[in-house]
Amino acid sequence: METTMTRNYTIAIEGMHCHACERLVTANLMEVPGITAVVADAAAGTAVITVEADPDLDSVASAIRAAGFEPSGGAATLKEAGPESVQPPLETPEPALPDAAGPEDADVCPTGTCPTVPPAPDPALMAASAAAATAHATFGIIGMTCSSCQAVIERTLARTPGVGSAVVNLAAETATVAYDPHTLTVDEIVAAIRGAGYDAVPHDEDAAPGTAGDAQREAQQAHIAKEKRLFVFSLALSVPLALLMIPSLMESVPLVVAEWLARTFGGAWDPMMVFKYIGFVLATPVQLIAGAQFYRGFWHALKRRTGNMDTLVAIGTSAAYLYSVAATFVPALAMEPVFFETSALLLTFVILGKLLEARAKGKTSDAIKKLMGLAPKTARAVRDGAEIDVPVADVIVGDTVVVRPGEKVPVDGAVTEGHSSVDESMLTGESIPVEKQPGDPVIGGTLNKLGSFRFRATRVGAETALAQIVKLVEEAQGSKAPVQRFADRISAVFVPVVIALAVITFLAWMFVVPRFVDPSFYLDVTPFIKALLAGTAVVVIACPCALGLATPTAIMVGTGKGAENGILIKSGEALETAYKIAAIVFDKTGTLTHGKPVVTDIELADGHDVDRVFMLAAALERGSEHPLAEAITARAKEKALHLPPVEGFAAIPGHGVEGTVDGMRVAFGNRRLMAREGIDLARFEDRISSLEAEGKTVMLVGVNGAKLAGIIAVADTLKADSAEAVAHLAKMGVEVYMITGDNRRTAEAIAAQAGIPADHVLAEVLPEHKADEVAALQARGLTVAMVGDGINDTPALAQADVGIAMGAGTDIAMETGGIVLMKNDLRDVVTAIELSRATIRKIHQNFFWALGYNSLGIPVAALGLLKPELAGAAMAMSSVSVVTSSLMLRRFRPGMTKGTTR
Amino acid sequence: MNRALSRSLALAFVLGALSLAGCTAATGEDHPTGGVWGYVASADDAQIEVSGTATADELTVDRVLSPGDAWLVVHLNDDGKPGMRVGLQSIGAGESLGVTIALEGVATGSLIVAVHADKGEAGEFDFSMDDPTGSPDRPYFVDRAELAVVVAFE
Repeated sequence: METTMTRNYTIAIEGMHCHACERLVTANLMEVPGITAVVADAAAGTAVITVEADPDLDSVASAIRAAGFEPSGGAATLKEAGPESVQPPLETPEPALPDAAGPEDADVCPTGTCPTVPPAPDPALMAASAAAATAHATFGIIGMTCSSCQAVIERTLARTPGVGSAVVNLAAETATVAYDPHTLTVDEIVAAIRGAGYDAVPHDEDAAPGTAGDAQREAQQAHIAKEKRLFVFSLALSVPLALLMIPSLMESVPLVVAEWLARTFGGAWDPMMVFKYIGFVLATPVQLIAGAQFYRGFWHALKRRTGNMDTLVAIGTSAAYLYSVAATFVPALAMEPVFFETSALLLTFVILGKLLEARAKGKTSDAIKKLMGLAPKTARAVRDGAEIDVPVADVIVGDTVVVRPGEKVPVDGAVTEGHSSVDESMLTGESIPVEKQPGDPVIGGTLNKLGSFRFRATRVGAETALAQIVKLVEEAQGSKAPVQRFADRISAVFVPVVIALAVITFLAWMFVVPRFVDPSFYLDVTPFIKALLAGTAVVVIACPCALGLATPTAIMVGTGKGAENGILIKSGEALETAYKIAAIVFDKTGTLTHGKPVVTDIELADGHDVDRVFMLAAALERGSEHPLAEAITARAKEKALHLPPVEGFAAIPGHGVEGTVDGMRVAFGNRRLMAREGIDLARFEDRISSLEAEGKTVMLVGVNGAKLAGIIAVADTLKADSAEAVAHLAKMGVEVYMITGDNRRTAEAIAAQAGIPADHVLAEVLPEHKADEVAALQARGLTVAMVGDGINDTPALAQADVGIAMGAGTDIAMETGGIVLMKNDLRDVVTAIELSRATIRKIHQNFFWALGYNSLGIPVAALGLLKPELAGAAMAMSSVSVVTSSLMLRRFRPGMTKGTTR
Repeated sequence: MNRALSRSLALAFVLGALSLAGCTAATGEDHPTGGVWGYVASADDAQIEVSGTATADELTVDRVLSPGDAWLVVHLNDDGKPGMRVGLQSIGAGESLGVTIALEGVATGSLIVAVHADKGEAGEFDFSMDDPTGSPDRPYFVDRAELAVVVAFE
């Protein structure tokens, strides 16, 4: 494998305020030849660049200026950031959840002074916008009944000039439309949808968390309320109709009514006709009022030369109803029986099915509702020095907000005063409260346990982590999984095929069967009646509504279940593909490991103690941003060591640092520094070598140029759950790989701890080559998942069939990943795959249920063995059973025991 | 809502079962009203009065009130049931007085005079003893009994 040495440099930059600034600087610096990776840090006012060859400083300065900022001191100067053997801070995790938000969170600058930043690099969107100026809008759709309705709306929108693409989700009842705002307005899109026979409510994309669909929810509630009224109305009229079918009532009721009519209005009344009139009076309102919606849908579908469930219901019920009307009022048919109860009961069952379906579908989005419910309504903001309660929508970036014990954190921010522990389990699933002190990030929607604190709001409204999570989950639930295409294809041809089957059934019963069977087979009805009933039953039983619900309901429950477990699945496609994962590639730093070097071993020379050695080393490294130095200072801070001032500090590139501490000349660095100081390491050589063999970086503390005071070994350690997750994945039959830019020795040491075999270690891989390694695995025919957190993982995350980004990672990684793990717990990779497998299994089961009803029902109906009203009940039950089957997915539990972390 | 819908579902199943049972029973049953197989009229609108007796050639109905055009149909009394038809006379709607019906084939016993509606082709007595319930010109029923009187033969 070709290896290129890279170096890291830090550049000081003035004027950056926010993530948007960071992203702009990053994008511009990446354009400079020689720079392979960039991490800009607005808080530190720096950018760390990884270079293969020293870049032209003027180009670097120009790139920074082009982004709207200024290199400190007016010119770009490079400060070496660390040796190559140490993973550069490119993979240093950023503060956890506020950054777990997604693309838009980075686009708001707290100072309002930042330049406008283009949206996150989404290849699909970029391709679309390259083709035309494209805007996106989401609409709540009211009145869809089956996947044919979905197809009608998609086709209508596709034919609307200015619409680039339209995806309609039956379960979420939404349409996501990409359109050219220069030729089309949102109102015109709504009008087009209404023209297709459905109602549409545009979502307010800038609304507060989870409120984007409020108008849709209200409209849907109104729609459900209307359906309920129609159901009660139909039921009230259908019950007497059904009761009239009981023989004793069939005899007595028309007689009593005929007698009453004779007494009241005079004349003579034929009870048989009175029976028909009663049927007509009861069934007609059901047909015309409750059934009007189906006729409307039928008409709209007919105008578009297509068919849907409305077509089938309208045809089926009309056949029974209109024949009965003729049998009632056409004297020549006066002796023919009527089937008013068939049409009325059929409509009642269909409306009941729709209601049950709406109720079940509502449950599939419970996860979203739960998430939305986390957001508090008010915040205690400090205004003019006073604490006042304000609606959470009125909190602006920069506000100081007070949170007391037991209260929820209203928006995202950073603690400025006070200490507390905050329960973040509702967002991360992590049950142990997280300690918060000044500087720490807090997330809106989390629960403050102990202590009061003040924080400065950094993200509000639609920018908060919670809002972004809700949006992500909503988008995933609204996305269409590829498996859905199967259902769409079937549904598209279903209606015409069914109508053709019904016509064939009718003709066969009318003209063929009478030639071959004894008339007694007809049970005393005429061939026409038998043909009519069989044809109607075929039309009704064959409705593909259950098929249309099979995929989206399972995806909704699956993604919602993922969100509950701290796994954000960003699309139905990611959920579906995760099921097929055969190989999984873990980035090492920050993914398998903590991504932050920590002190692992200390060896002391005679006469020295640990605190003193750390005091000396930490004093020298106090001002350094080097990750190894941070490990030392963090340990000193942990021990609350007093760090004396340093005199005569000097950094010696490639060696280490030195200076005078407490009157002693101290050198802290590698072997070369000790050699330069003339310190003999012979006594310690074996120990140093063994530590290095374990993949650890060894740093030496020399005192007074004479002797070694101690050895400090620093390493990026494996996360506690990594080995368990790897073992579980292997048990699931997934090949596990580790990929890293580190040298092979370090990499294999970590891989061995994680349980990854040495031949599955992809070491010394440059960031830009990580995607190639993934592609190589894909070339073997494997479905590959990549798990990573850094910008340098982004190409590999995009290349992989499923990109799994760690929630504590960079925004770009999370934007690229199809799945985001909010807790940085690798066991969630296992859970994500398990969830995907469970969801796909559920979809297959749903297909069985949906197609089972149709495939069994159609022949039974065609044979004349199924009454139309029972076909209607079966149709309703098929939808209900599919949705109920999807809801069973809510019982999904992660297979791995989460021990104390849950 | 859950409970309401659960109840509705249960009710719907009951309805389904009822309709299944009902339809099965109803299939092919053309006349669902048991003993009343003609046209139901009120006693205020449908009456017949015969005070005399019949001769071998004729019978006179003193007064008949019909809700529509009708037939006076004379049968031999077959053990309390209408037997062979021996006379037929059409009447108009409303009251008719002193209607004489020519008889044929009467030898002994008593007669039954019934009032049938003229609902089929006007002027044609569309009634078949082979398919009484399927014939348009079925009798009137008052108080669940056929509108008819028994007349003695001289």
